[in-house]
Amino acid sequence: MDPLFESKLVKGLKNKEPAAFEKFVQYFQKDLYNLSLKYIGSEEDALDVTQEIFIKIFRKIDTFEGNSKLSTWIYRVTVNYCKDFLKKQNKIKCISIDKPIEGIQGEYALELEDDSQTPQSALESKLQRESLIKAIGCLDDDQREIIILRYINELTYNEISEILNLPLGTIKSRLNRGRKRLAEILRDDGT
Amino acid sequence: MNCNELNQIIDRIIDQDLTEKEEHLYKEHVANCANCKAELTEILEINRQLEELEKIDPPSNFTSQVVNRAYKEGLFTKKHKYVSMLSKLSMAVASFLLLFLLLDYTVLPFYTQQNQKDNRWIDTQHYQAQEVNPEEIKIEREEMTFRIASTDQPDGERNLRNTVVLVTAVFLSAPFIIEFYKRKKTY
Repeated sequence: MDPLFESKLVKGLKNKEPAAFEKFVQYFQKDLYNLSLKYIGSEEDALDVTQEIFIKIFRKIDTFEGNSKLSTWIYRVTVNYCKDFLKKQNKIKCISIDKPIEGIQGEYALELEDDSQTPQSALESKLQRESLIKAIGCLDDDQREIIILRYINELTYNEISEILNLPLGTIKSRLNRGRKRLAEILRDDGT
Repeated sequence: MNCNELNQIIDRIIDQDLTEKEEHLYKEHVANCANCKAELTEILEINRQLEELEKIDPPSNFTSQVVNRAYKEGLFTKKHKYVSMLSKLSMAVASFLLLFLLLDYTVLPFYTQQNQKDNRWIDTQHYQAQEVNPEEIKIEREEMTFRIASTDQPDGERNLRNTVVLVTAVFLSAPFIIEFYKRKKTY
């Protein structure tokens, strides 16, 4: 995000301007929704959680002192909120590989299209993606959050390190373990 | 390079962050170690699949839902709330006035003209049916034209009225337009 735009946005949010809040939601909704969705696993819960997070951030915006980037602060709030949500819900996070992921709009993992492929390879890709999303749900919390931040939110190691308040080395090793664990889960699923 | 050393640089292989020498060494090891080759291939495939994961869009009305909730919970300052409400209200009144002007210059003159034509045609038919003298028709038409003209407002008065309406509409729409451009310029 452009620093000038960010400072204007933060100023507008602190002044409690509706226009600033609307722009803020528009800018971050896709990232936060996808982060919550992959973290929680349910489309309906993810929408509610994302809405709660935006309201919470708006209420707490005065506590943002600008020591980090706005996006880093927001991701940190989101990750913590999702963790708390899962604790409160006492949810079983590991979704059965045999069970399709249901959402408001149906099985979202199966909705992805790619016209460049033949029908058979497109189907294989869809199944592959579906298995991968489910496998992410089976990872430990610490591996899953890094995998999501790295691959879904496309953040750098430094940004992830800042968000999770962990050393760079820990981030890299957890990411490595996460990838290996994903490979194991998918291998077991395939056999 | 041995298996353990390879294991330690897997993340750098994925990130393509190796020196030429390291790249040469790991490729040499992988060529001779079936286990490492299989493991690396699997990890690179997982990485490729993860990189291809697409983001899903939230519902199109998500922003308005969140903003409306913030309004309901009274999270915005009252000043902004009332300014926004007033500007929308005045814009609605301005739109109504502009619609009136549009009708006054387009539909209404056409309707009056058509009405005059219809009246003339009906009257002519009426007079012809009664075999009235054409001279009388002419006199009647003149009277009718005078009648229509006298019921219409004079042009000057109409223009003045419409100018006042237009200026009022411009003033009323100004807060909304200013707010819109201010928002667009600021964010």
